[in-house]
Amino acid sequence: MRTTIAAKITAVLLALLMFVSTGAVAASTETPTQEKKSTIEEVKELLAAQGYYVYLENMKMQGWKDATGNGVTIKAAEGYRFTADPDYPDQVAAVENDETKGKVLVLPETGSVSWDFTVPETGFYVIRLVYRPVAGNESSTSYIQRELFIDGKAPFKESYYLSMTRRFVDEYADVKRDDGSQGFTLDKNGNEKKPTKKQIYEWSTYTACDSTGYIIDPLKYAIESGATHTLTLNATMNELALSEIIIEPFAGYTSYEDYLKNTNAKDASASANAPVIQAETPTSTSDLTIYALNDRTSAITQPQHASKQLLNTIGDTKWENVGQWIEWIIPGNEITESGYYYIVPRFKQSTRAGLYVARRIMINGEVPYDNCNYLQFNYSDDWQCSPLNDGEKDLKFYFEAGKDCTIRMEVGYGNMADILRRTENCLTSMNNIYNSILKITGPNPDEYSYYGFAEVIYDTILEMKATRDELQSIVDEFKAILGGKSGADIATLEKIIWILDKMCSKESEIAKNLDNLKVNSGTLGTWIMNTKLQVLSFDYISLQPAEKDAKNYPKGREGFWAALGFEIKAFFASFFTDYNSLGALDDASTAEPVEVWISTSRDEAQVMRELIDNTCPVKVNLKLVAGGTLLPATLAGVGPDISLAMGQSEVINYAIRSAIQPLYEEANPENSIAKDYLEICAQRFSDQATVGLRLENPDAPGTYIYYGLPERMGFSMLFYRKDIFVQLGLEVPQTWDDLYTIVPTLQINYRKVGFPSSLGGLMLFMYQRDEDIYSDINGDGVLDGMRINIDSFTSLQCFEDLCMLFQTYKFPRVYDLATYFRMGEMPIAVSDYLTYNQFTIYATELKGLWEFTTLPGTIQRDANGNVMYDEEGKIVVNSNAPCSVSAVILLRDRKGRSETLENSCWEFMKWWTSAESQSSYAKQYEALVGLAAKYNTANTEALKNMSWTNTERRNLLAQYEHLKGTPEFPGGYIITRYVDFAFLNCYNNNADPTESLLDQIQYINNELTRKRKEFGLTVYEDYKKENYEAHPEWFD
Amino acid sequence: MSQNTAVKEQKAKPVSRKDMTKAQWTWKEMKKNKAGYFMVAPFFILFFVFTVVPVFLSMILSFTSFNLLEMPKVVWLDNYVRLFLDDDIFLTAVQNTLIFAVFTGPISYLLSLFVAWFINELSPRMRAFVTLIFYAPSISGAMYSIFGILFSSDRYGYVNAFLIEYNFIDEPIQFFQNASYVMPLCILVALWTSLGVTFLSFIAGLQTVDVSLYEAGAIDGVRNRWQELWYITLPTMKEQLMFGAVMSITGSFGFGGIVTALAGFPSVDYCAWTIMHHLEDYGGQRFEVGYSSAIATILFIMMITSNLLIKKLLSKVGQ
Repeated sequence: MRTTIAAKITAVLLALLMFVSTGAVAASTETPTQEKKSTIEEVKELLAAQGYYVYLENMKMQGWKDATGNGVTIKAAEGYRFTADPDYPDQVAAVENDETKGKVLVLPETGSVSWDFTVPETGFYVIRLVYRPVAGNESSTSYIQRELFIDGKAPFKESYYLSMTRRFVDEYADVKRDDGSQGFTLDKNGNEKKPTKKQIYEWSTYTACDSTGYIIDPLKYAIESGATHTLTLNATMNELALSEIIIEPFAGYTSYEDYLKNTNAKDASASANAPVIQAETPTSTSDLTIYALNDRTSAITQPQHASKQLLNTIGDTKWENVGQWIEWIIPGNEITESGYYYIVPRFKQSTRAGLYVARRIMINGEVPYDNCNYLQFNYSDDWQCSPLNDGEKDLKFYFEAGKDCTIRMEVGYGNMADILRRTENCLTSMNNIYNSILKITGPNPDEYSYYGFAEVIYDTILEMKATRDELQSIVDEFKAILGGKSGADIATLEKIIWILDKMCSKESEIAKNLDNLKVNSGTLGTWIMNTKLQVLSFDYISLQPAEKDAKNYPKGREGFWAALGFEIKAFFASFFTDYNSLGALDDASTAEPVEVWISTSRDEAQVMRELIDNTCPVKVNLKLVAGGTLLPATLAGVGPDISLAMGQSEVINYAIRSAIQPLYEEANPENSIAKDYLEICAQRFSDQATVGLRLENPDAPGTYIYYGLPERMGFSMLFYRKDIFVQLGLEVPQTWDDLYTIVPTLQINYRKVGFPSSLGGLMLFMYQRDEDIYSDINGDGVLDGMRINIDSFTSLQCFEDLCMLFQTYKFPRVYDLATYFRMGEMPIAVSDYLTYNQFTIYATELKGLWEFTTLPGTIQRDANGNVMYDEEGKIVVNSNAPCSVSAVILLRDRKGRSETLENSCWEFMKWWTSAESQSSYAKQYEALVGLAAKYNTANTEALKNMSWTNTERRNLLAQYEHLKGTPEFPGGYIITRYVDFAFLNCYNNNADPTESLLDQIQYINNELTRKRKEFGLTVYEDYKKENYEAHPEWFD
Repeated sequence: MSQNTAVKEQKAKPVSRKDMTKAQWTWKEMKKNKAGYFMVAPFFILFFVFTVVPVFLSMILSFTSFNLLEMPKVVWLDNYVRLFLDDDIFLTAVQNTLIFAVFTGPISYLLSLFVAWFINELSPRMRAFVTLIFYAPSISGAMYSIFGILFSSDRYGYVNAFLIEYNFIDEPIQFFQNASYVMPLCILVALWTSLGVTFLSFIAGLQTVDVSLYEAGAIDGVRNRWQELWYITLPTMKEQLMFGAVMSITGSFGFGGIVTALAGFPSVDYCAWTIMHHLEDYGGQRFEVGYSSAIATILFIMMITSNLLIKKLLSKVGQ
């Protein structure tokens, strides 16, 4: 009986839904979808674009050759045409006068610019840009990215991703070490402190090359003579100043033999001076995040100390991504004799066992000869000292006496570049294969069914064979590089070959091995990700005269006794060193320090310490504590003044038990600690950020007391796979009705939708209909928290909608988003925007094929159920997302805190949540976690300033405009629990949503009432008694 | 021989018990055995400060309303009244705890005993191996999480994938989020992990039984293995039986961590909610330490009672 009723209700609901959605779709065609359509167009183009090698091969077959002779130079400031981005019409190009370069063109971070040009001769050309980053926006430290089009089209895929580096220098203090070399400032424990880095804006020449590092040579563009061509630079990230564009022929790098012949010099004699430069003090670096590090693994790392932390190396995981470089200058006065030298660094490569790590060396801005692109650093778990080599021979370099010489070491893949590129292509093919089989069989194929693969997806079977052959040839080449050894790296590839071989040899094996294929694509992706990391540390770099006997080179490893002595000294020193304090600079001032507790990782705390030392206006005692220490410490009265990163429910939990000092009382601003609280919040954060950090003032109803300053903020966005949407011919949904219309298409193709269940999903729907979680009995706009509001008519409807997604549309409740998304099984998902980090790092092969955008919205309806329109006749769509914050709090001091200290505390809180501090922290955080990692700061300015691409920033800010914070009340923890029970009851037992939710309401309200009683707050029953006669309508 | 001298010495003691008060006598005895007290002191101090004192503190706190951050307020019996008369979930918790206690207590206790008995019959090398297999689940801390993977709610969880593959179901079952599955699964896991210390102590106990006793028993008319077990083996290993019983009582009443790890906190509809969970909920999440102390006190009383009961029962062994 029950089931029939349920079925009937579902049927009615479905019918209603179909009715509604068709109407809505018809209506929603009017909504502006222009912008999103264009990105889909772009993806289509991107998908259609050929790879560089295919392009080069094709052109060569058509008889194209390298051009010879001179190229052309375009003056950037002359004859340019700039097209502004319609979203940022006021960002335009400007001509400026530069001291060294004369008239230059300064380009904004959006829009595109074109020039006309002709070339004297038909053939291949490389394109060089003379550029400098634009000063002024100090916060942008990420690479500058542009798309380069010839005649309005990117000739190949790589041309979409040109990426130009910046230049950073250390600001060294005037400190010398004992040996006279550049030193660092010391903190009060005698440890060396990292110098701050400063960006400098110098002109340099960038040659258009593959930003993924898979192609060693610069990119060659085929350009015909005679006709006038246009060159277009389309901005994707950051501003850029251009002086000129050089289009010139490139015949390839000089060979080693030619280099020796051309320089025609002698080996430097054994007695010549052998200069040594300490690697930890480079002249400049490409990234803010490459800085001097402390190494304690060897006694002879220069310099070394048993108890103090000296910065003695550079590199490690900070210098592992392709394109990152470090430059050093070898002073001319130390080169006493002209001639050939070996460059002998002391280095450590202890991550790629059985393989090498690659670098490219440039001397005075140029690659001297071909082999310099393929430097190899072999594995050893200890430090090594050996001349730069290309795997076959040690390489000589010519140095002239008395002349300063710049050495740049850049991360590249060397011989591995091609292997990596081809493996990544294979991964893409595997994903394609998986997707086309998935379309036919679904994720759980029946291995005994006949699917007729040979007829339906013959192409896929051919692709399988091709991929297998390609992988086989990669393995062969790989083995050659490794010198015939086979290792774990090869085993990964061989296993995939085996699976593909089985699948394409027998049709019945296809269905059987589908899951295997998926698992192994994941493995291969991880393999590529790991192989790409080129971790290498340098201690120092020395030049050794070529005639000198290799026996007399410095040693990589210390002797046994030296090591033992060092370890013993370090062991005893460990009893007298405080490793837990994050040493501050020696500060003579006697001001009372603010005690701040942080419970993140040590690295993050270290970053914060540095920020404090450099820019914080007050004296701070920063302590790294284990999570969960705060409560006992506060109990014992030894707690800190300030605690960081407290979740909003935790803040309120502490606040209602009066463990937190209120920052601002609306009813009593003069006596508040933070008189400027509201202005600060209005300037810095979303207006929803403080919603979860305040409580209603019991003495002055209708006003709030604020307890914390927002630090981080999280909210959801819609992630989707552009390529799959293009393949299936779908549009990105703007509203839920749009989503409902595409779900059938997705499901026919065995795709799933990722959506938060239980309270997360319910809140999303409720907030999009402007419904609150808590009651507002007297209707004054201030939620009172006396009762829960999820039993209102709209809320129940929202819950029905939510359950329908899971009951009728069968959305999965539990899923591994990263894997599903990567494999394309879940091409669309609602998730926290920081999932961005995971996708960027985890699925590099999907670069450009996915993005996040605003959540689908709910079409607003009036009381009669009619669609609402705004003044311009557009449908009103509400795309609110729930947000939650974590905050900095000021703990109540039972012993009483002096007013000066209280002010310092507030100063500190203001400093820490300011745009500058948050931006710097976000940048350093990127350095810790990985290049693309974002930190979810609550500061609007800092969020904007992070290294998003223009589209990402636009989408992010669009969602940022539509957030809704959740207030916290005593007993709020109970809601998640009971809503989850109600949801699971519907999900597991197909129960009626309204009924199951209503069943739980009384439990929630009871708990709210009980908790309110505990804290002496007005409870619903009393409130009703008092006010029923005056306002009976409040209690309907 | 040495025993005799010890006895003689004691008898030779000139001081008579009647001459002094009880306190004096105790003090004298303590002074005489100060080496022993000195050696037990480190453990005793730690035990007293960190176990005995908290137990009494918690009993005192159970008469107050205390939120950790502010001073406790005395509310006398309010907490207990609320616990028994106004807290449905506590009653669920008691019920579940008793169910778990029955399974992980007596059932697992008997299971341990019989498995130990059977294993004891094996050759020594085989015995060591099989012992390891049975004991391993309880030493390797989070081994039960393997059940979390097996019964994952994702469609790629092993059991779900298997059932979907062979068309038993279309949609993944939410094993640990569905009230009809949670309890049986948790009991299964509980049984699997509970063959721990108890089992090991039984094996040890079985090894200590003097073989000559069996021979004597055979002569005195023991007719079968059951009689042998009841009249000889079990009485000889009474200490181990007692130890095992205490361990499994504390284990079964304190059961909860595994449920939290598998079914979440709280489990759906409180279907596998135990007293331990209730205690954690109020103490940790709701900051109502007074109330959770009351729960703890009840739990303590339950454990003590069942302990005494078990002692009574065990004294019947072999009779």
